[in-house]
Amino acid sequence: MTSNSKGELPRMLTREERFNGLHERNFEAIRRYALRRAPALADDIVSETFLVAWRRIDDVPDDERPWLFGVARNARLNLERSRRRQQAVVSRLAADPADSTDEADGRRETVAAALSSLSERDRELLLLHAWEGLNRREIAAVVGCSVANVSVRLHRARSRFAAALAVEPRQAHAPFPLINGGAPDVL
Amino acid sequence: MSSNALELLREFDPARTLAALDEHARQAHRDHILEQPFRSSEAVNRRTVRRRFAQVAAVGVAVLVFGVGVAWASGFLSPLGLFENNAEQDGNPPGSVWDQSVVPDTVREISSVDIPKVGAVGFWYGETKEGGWCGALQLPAGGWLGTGNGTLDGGGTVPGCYPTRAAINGAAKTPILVINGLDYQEDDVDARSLGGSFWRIRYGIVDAPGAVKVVDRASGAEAPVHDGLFELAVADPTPTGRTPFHLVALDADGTVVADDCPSCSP
Repeated sequence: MTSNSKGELPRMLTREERFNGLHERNFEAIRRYALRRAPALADDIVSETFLVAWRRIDDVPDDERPWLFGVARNARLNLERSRRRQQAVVSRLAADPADSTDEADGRRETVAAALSSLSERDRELLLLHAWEGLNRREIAAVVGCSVANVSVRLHRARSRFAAALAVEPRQAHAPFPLINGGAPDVL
Repeated sequence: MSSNALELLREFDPARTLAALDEHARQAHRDHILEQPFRSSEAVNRRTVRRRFAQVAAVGVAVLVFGVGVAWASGFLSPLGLFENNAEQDGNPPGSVWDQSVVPDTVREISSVDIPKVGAVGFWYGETKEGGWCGALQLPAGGWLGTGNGTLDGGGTVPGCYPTRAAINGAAKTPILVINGLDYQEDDVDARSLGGSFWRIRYGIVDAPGAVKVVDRASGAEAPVHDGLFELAVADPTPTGRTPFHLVALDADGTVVADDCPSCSP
């Protein structure tokens, strides 16, 4: 730690200041994650996540977001387990009235069906990438496995999802983009 | 995976159009967390988080017990958690008419009303196995009215699950509630500290056939009926007084199909 021109050492942030910054930077992302996965439990998930973050503020790493998502994920799993419910992401997707047209409904059902064809673990990795925007290293920190493992599983999940989209029957009223070979994975 | 498939997946992101909470609401959430005792580097035992709290007083002030009690006291239980804890049952024996168990799959948000200076206050509802209903009003920051948390909570019914009026009458030696097609609770929002007003929000059930809206004939405020449920907010300029209130339900032709006070005028 270097001193300034007056020879004074920079002031260390207090715990409250560190938490305030962490909360400000990450609240919306955690809130969206919780609402996407388990809307009926979202408030509990968000509150437990930041309660853990406050109580473990000294342990939060510099790369705080994957750590927070990991805490939120554990909170969600514990809450769902205690409620004996599994919140299916696909049912949320199908029920979300983002667009009420027949074409959009058809596309939504197609996406939901393709997602449901994946294992729960593969679906989780895919959505952490697609919706939360995390890269492989960050996903590995969230789910607690190696980056190499995430790379393999994510590639597999993407391929299976694309394949599932391609085999869904075309809807007469909903032209569907063909899945081609595509560009290499970019993370 | 091609960019088309990824874009398609993102198109149906449930949070795609979700608006960010306003700064005041976010800070309220942060402040609630900071009010909790700090423990350095201790692993949180999540089993203890599910421990039920001991007691809720009539005005909704909880005895603080770590875990669910902390969440209750901070006001940040989930809707399902709130209904499963069912503060309304406290003090009543198991099997009594107030022993209502929420059916989890019925829990949903019915509507929201926009309160100036505060934001959207949502009405969460659920059905019980015993034929009753659960109700609660949620503030934008996630807290619940009627729990005694925060300056915005103006008091009212402690959120939880209730038997129907008919069930209450059936359990009593003589009928005590009027059956008039309306069955509702009230919670209040006090936004005066923010430069707003004091608001009374009535929410609940209209089981009169054909009802499409409810109206407070005293103020003229009205709200639509969704699936037999409503949420009506009325500003009260004199909250310490006796501001007139007369709730009716109307059908599509404007005919009164339920009246909470037939002898009241207007």
